[in-house]
Amino acid sequence: MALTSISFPEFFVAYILIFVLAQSGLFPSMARVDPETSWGEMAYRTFLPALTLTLVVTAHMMRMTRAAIINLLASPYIEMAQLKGMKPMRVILHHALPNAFAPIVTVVALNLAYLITGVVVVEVVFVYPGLGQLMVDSVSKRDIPVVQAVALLFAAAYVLLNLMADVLSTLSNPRLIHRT
Amino acid sequence: MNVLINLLWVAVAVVAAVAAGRLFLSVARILSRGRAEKLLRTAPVSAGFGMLVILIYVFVAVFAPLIAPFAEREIVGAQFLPWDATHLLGTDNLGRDMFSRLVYGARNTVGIAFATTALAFVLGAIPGLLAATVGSWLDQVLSRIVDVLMSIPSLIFSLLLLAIFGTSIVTLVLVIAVIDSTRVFRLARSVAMNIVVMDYIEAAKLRGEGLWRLIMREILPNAMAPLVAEFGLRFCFVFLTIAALSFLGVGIQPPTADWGSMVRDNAALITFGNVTPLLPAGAIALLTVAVNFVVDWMLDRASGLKE
Repeated sequence: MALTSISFPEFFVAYILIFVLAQSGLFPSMARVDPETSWGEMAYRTFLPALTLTLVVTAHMMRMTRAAIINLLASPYIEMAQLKGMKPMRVILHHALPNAFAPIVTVVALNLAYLITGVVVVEVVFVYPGLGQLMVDSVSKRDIPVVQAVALLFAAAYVLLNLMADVLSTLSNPRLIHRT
Repeated sequence: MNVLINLLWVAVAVVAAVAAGRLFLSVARILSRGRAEKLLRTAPVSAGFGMLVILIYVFVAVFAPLIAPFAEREIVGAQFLPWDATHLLGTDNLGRDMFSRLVYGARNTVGIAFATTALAFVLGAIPGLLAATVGSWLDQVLSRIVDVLMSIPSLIFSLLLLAIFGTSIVTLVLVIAVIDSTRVFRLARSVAMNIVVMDYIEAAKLRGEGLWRLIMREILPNAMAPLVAEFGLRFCFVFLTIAALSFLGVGIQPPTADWGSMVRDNAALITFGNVTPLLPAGAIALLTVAVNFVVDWMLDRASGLKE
């Protein structure tokens, strides 16, 4: 299931959401916001784009977390815990999770970094006046300075988030802190 | 109520997919013999479905002119005609036949994605293996270059490069190949790192084998399994990137039929409750899912992660 949703392009997810949710009149399919728009109204209008990004990222997270935990579950101490007759839920929560925490934190930070690129497509679908839209417009007009500036902003955020992922994974793993 | 009907359709599609996968697997098992038969016996239903879908796509791409009822760029009727007997899926925003364009899109989009992936592998795998084998400063220089290229998100970087070099198919292929080759480089290098320290490499070196022969004859065959799996995954990512770029209007340029730009051109129809614009996007999703299924099976076989 996660495998299926990870391979969907973002705009496919977005348009399916528009088709199902915006069709029935629940949510607006355009996320046009102005500075004057109130907070509640803003949240309401940006609900569909946010949901799209959430779905895409959830798929990524599930896949990466699964990969992180599947190796752990094969290790001897998990087998020991199972042989002791513990309930499966307790084995996962008390024995596997603390050790899987480091990879999961990294996954979350990496996914934030992934969002940086995902947001470009979603902004175009929902006509949200953001940086991604600005970048795409400038690329088709070949306005190089604007493209450079926006790319620099995105890249800086991306590098910082990746750095955060590295630092967090080091902090949550004592073996890496005490490495000489 | 509407949602329930949609869910029912999803369930029907899943059942049909499982049945098709099983049917294809049993037919393939009967037709193949020897090693191929043994290999197919281990394949799960999902892999069978994946292979079936990929075969259908390849068939459609190769025989596109025979299957499509109209030409790729021919304007055959009014704009946004509904589905009927002559225009199976109606017409698009300029009055071109939607079904024909979908068929030609298989050729264009998949062909370009495949060429890009192949180029990315040549650009990434050879330096990767070289860096692992030679080591020392060459490894450092290549790895740091790749680190720099990888520190910019790929979609943003390709947008930037396309803005600089202009949007044509050649630049599109080159830009995406260069960006994706960095990922291939990383994988090829890390796989080769584990192989280089083996005893038989040492023996081969002592035998006096040259660098090129060492890479081609000793390391590459042993690094093949993960690289082939990576080829499938890379293809998916390249395919999605090209589709996303075309969707944004900076990828494959009209009037060439392409699934990404087809979604963009016909997006207006969605607000009227018409599913036609979703079809090209669905075609993209279906192919990536199929490739992923096959790759997953191959990875499982190679690593033996699950018992």
